[in-house]
Amino acid sequence: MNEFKDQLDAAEKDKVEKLIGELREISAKAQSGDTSVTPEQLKAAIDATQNASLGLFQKVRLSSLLSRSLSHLTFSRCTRRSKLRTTLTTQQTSPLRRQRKRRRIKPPSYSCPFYLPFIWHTSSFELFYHVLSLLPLYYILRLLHCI
Amino acid sequence: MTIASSSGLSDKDIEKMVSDAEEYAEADKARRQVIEDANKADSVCADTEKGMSYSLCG
Repeated sequence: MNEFKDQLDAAEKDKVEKLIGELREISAKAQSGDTSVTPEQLKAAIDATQNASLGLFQKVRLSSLLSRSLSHLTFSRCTRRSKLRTTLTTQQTSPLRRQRKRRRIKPPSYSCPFYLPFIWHTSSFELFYHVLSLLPLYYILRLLHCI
Repeated sequence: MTIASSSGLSDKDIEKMVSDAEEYAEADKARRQVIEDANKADSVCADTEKGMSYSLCG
């Protein structure tokens, strides 16, 4: 990126320097009394040089502003979630995030579903699943006239 | 005895000079404009080079 910017700046600089050389040549001709140089020609050369130099200065200014803005954004809160998560290590993340990780309740995993109603349910979805898993047992017991 | 200031020019010479000035007034004006534009061009060149050395090297 920096190499591309340097090449761009160098190309623009060469263009402006070429225009400055042409303008100096025309100006020297005009001051020496050459009647072939007209005021319109001089004004056109001045305008071209000023426009090119303005474009170069704007690009340099814009690139410096962009680099400053990006360096600021790298350490802002907005990029912390998306960018720093991948770039920074766990030790460099905020203590609040680590605390949240520790507080997260891990749902229990059980092999036998019949014990599930006797265990504390961590969410309504799990409770629904547990009740649903007991339905076959309920129907079997009903068929056997146990209930 | 009368003493009068004189430039050494006759009336004919003065009239010729005035007519020449009137004749070449437009050309002189154009020449003046070209010289002023050339000076402005030199100024633009110097300012641009100064700005380039400040912006790109600074």
